[in-house]
Amino acid sequence: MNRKRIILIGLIAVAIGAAYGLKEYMRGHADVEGMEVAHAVDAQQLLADFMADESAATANYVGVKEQAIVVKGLIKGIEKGAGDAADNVLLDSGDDFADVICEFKKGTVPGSWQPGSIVAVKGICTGYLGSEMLPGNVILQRCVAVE
Amino acid sequence: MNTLKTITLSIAILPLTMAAQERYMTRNGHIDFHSSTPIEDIHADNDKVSSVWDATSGAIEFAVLVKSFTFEKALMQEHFNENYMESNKFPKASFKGTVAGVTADQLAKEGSYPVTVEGTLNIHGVDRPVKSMGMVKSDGKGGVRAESKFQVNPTDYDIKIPGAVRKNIAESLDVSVRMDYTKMK
Repeated sequence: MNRKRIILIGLIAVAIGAAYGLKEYMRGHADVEGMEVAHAVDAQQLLADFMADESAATANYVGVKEQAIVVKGLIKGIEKGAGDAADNVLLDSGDDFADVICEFKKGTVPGSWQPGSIVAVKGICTGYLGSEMLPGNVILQRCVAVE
Repeated sequence: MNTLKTITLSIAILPLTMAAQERYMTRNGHIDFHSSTPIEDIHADNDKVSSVWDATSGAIEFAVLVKSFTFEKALMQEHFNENYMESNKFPKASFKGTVAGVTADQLAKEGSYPVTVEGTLNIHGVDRPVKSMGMVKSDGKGGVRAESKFQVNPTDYDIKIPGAVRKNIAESLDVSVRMDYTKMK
């Protein structure tokens, strides 16, 4: 193999590496709609699992790597975000002081969804927030409607 | 007898004391941080901050899920969670402290007040005392906006930045907090 060929192969390898690096750097967030469903759970069971063992539920529903879960439940309320802020669909968790908060991109909550509707939401669970002073909530982000 | 009297009186007063508490709450608070270097700008937002502020005592508490911070680029978010914040090990960040400079009575009326917030910030499992200035604006109808800006140095919280990307991340991050509280009934 002559020297020119070795240099050419080296340059191609560097170019491929740089292109891959740039593609990775610019990569956007995964489309939740197309993600595999890691768990499907009822909203009340989801909160119950976090209340029973927060660490185990975090490992299960949040996971080490980003994963999508589907949560089914009764809509307790819909909060419209001000301006460009996201909208929230609150699913009844069975506890008056805790909700499953599903964050939707502005304007993507189906118009037919109303408080009292039973729906299924697919999203990324980021965990449970709560303490003696703070109300407890399970949070899902980048949500999409399943039904 | 005196002890009995004290206990009876305490029980009688307790509901009055509790009723007098003026608590404000949000679970859609906003925190963002920004790092700016000649190499790149890094910005992340978190719109799922939970906070309760007892305006009677001044006690305030914030909590965030680290994985709720969103970055424009997925790779940055992955590095933030996996390499720097170790969010599987330390899933939450929190602040507990007090607000001085405004009273519950003042918040009942429309007005703006400069405040001082002081307490303990926990990030990456490390507690550090912090003090910051802020601004509180009440609409007089139970809505209160609180805003503050401060800086956080990752090394103070044992957050290790690998040498290869050290120049990409500022030594001090600019943190902005904006909470739209509603009065708890």
